Amino acid sequence: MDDHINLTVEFYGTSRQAADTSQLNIEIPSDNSVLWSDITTTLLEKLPGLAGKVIEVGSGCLVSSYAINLNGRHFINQEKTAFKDGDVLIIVPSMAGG
Amino acid sequence: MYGYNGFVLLVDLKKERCDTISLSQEILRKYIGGTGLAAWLLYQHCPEGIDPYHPDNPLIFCTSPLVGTQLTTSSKFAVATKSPLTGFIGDSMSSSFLATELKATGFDAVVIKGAAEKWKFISVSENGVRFYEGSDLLGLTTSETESHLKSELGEDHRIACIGPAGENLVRFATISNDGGRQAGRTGTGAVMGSKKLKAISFRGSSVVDSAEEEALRVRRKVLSRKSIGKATEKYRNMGTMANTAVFNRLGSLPSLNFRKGSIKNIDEFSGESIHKQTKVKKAHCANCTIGCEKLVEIPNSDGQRTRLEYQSAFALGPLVGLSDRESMLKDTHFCDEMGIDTISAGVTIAWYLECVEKDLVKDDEIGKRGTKTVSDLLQKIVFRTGVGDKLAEGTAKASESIAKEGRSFAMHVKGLEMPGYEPRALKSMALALAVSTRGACHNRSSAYEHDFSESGNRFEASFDKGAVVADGEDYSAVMDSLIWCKFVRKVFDDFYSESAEVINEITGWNMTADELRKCGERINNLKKLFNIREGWERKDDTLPERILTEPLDNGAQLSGSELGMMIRSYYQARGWTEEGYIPQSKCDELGLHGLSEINWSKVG
Repeated sequence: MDDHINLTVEFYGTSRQAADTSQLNIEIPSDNSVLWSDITTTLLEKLPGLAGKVIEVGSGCLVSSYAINLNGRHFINQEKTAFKDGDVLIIVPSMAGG
Repeated sequence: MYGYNGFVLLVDLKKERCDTISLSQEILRKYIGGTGLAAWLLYQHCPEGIDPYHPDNPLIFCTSPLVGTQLTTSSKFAVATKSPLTGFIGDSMSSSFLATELKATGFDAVVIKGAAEKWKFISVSENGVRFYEGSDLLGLTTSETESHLKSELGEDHRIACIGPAGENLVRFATISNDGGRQAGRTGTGAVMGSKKLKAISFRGSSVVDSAEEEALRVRRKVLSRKSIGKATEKYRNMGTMANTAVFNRLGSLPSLNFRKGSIKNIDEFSGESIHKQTKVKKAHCANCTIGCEKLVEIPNSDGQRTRLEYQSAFALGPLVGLSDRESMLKDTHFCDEMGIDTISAGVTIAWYLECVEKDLVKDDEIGKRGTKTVSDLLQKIVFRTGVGDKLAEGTAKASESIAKEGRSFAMHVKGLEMPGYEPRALKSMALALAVSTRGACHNRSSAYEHDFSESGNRFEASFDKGAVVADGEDYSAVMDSLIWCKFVRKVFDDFYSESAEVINEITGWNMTADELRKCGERINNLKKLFNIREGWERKDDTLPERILTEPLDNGAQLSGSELGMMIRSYYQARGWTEEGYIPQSKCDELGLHGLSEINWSKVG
């Protein structure tokens, strides 16, 4: 049995500037699904530029001026979502016009 | 009186005379300023049923109580008139030094009526108006006109002007000010052209006092500090161009005349790529701490720059099927210099190109010109040569005169061309575009916020969207009347309460958050009353046939019955009749009495 799930995290706008990459594939130990709190350590480890700018240091929460879209469909509450193998998390600046 | 001059300048271009009228505290407190006060002035001064090009159609420039306070993002003004694109209310906003200079002339607003016999420019100051011969300005671009008048009158004069497009009555002509900023939508520049008014100069030294200067001093400091926080990071770093790649990823970037919701070569147009690969200079409006403006260097142009916004990039790039950045940047620059709305221009051209592609129109030049196809058509539109003469009338009228078979994919609402928000993938926005009083408008509802949040299902047409859009419209009306820039809104913890405190510090009033919220509702009802007076009917609140009959390439769709359900929910949220009219009881509740010429049989 495979005990890892694979996720893709895409970065847009200022989150891409902070990440210095447009996307990252990550592998998280799990036999079913993972929570945002399970991902942040890996994200910050691989992309330290996110710390403080996109992901709050300490709490691991997404900075309030960003939002997450799941698989190009709906925006989600990252704290209440269980991410499954193959999911794409799209991190974007909160939308406000233009 | 604090916060206002208390006077409106009335200018008669035909008689070359001016007059002043005073503004009562009651009116100011009800309509505030900006688009709210401008809508009230329009209702009063625009005779019912006139053609938008009739000399009596007023062209209104309106400031607000925030102008002159130096609060961040407060240097903005509204322009209002009866739109030559829609025949309904046309309002548009622009920013920077012109707003503060206008208010320093001792007037809160200027209402221009009549038409000059020969081309004029006028100069507005505390002494009223001076009329000048304007024929020698004809043919000058917007930047040339501004620099010419500044060299003639003085660098401290602030200029609003039209380019060749406004002179030639292109129905989506803009009014330009302060180095290329535009009152862009609904064709205000065409109305200015119809009055043979090439430019207006503002210069004054009047100071408007605020009731609580010390409180405002603290407020300025706090807001400025908050405005450079994370809430505005997107605008400070990348500007509205940050939208392009995200919208594309989410299938909500209208492309190829709304046939697709995304394109493959997004790197050509994305803010991320442009910022990485091109020289970009940041710029600020007067009294703005955010600085969302991005002046992008045009390749192969000896360092020439153009002010680039998402809406221009979308309309003159993916929408018209252009695949290279350089052409898009050049075309954007051309539109700003000639004084035309990039959105309306792009939508009109996208429609025409599809007509040619489908053999509804024969045009041998299309296809031979490659990347120059769009720039050639823009040139023809501005100077009304060849097919450009008909395209200059806008998508709605062009589809009637060029190819009626193409009406189903003429992408406009009420005559105003669609902005870069794909309605089938953004259902709150779909409703907002359908019911907006100024046509397909992206700036008067903030409805996209709901679509781009976890609280809204952007693919679902649901009954709750009516209240979302009505609330968003009222909120936006307050912003556009005070006037705050939309990009500062996330800086507030409690928008209505904090804004009420601000207006009280300026005016000395005791306005509450609820009273301010009511102002927003009143202003939106007033705009609707104007439209009803000018012939609005239920059928006008809709979306283009393509949106309601063709699924998007990513599967997103919206049926006519779904839209109808959402429109009913909106009317219900507004307290209007099922047919979208305003009951007299609602007018009474909002204090919308005392308006001249309300015909109650037309209202509800």
